[in-house]
Amino acid sequence: MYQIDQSVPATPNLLGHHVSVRIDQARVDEAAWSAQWTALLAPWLAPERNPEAALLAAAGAEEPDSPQAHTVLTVHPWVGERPYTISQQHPPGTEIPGLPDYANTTGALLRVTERQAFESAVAHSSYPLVVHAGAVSRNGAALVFPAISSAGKTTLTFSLARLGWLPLGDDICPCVEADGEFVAVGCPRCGHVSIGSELLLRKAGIELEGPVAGLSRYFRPTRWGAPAPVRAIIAPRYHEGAPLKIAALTQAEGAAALFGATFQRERVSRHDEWAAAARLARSAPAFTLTYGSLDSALAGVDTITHAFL
Amino acid sequence: MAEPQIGAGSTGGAGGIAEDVALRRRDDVESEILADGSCLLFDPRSNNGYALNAAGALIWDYCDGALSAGAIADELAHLLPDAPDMRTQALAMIATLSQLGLLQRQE
Repeated sequence: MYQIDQSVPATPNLLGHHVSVRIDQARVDEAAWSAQWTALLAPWLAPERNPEAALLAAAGAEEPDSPQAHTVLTVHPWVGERPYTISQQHPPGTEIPGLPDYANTTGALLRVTERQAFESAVAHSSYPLVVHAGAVSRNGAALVFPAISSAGKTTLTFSLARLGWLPLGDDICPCVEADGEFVAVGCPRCGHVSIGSELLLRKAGIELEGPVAGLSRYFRPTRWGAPAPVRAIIAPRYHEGAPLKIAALTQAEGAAALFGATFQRERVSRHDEWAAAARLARSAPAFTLTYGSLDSALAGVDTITHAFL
Repeated sequence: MAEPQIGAGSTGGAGGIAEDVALRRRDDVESEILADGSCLLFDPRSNNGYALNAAGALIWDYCDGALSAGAIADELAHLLPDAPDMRTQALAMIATLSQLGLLQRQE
């Protein structure tokens, strides 16, 4: 370990926003850090490897030289029990508070930095709609699963590969509007897969890459879906042992499910997100899917898609 | 048609409301009726959005200050005779909308 004082060279373009990391006098092994950071954000650093990343970069990117296009995360040393402090420098004029965060280990530092990078990217993104949701696509149609954390989005999203639905992302779903349709472009970020979920997914024959960058429970699919118009909104609700229940939502409830899962952003007002959610809900039916097992969830999605797609 | 419902951003249970009070939609609350009869509200003060089902949309439409809460509930019960307990549900919905600050007393 030694002290370095330079920006880590890999600057990913996340959702059209550049997030660079600067190590400032903190004791970080530069080579190890760069290798882990690069592995963690590989789909974004090498867009040609991933069509979603390329589309995201092309659709939402600021001019690279614009100060509005960059957030800088700086890792400082911290004397005491927490070796690392991570501060955020957002573009000029931004109202995001940029509160510092802390990490005790290099693994924790990587996790915190990755989370802050995506939070910054989402906050500065200019897509009409960015939903806290899993999303999958198949044959030119996408399904969006808006839900709170711990609702089973990751397991459901990744496992749908069994039915040919490939993941666009498990927790951030940016949508662009093209030709009057909302296209889910996805977000190929690692998912946090619990031990139980990993066992379920492996048992189901789902291939996962990971643990990525050596981070415990960080996995991503080996195959991603292609961006596609949203054809259904499905709000998943996992309750252990619950019988499968599919309930159709009104269009307003579908819009509310989307709007309730949108992120606070700098460049898109809440009103505009509300209006975008309403437009999407007009064109895609919405449901709640209550399930108590992965098999019943897949059966439920299959029922919905056979009935409405 | 189900009882009037409000979703997303709702504060939940509503207290009572005096039936003789006339309430009016706040002018700056944006509403949008969707093709299935449901309705979306957006409150620019709180940046909250709300979903109303078709019965809720009817109530929202009635809240123009001309009728009292009790009279609106009577209208809903008359329009939707098959819905159980519609009058009580309508009053609860009006109370909820009022609690959320989306309605104001007609002076």
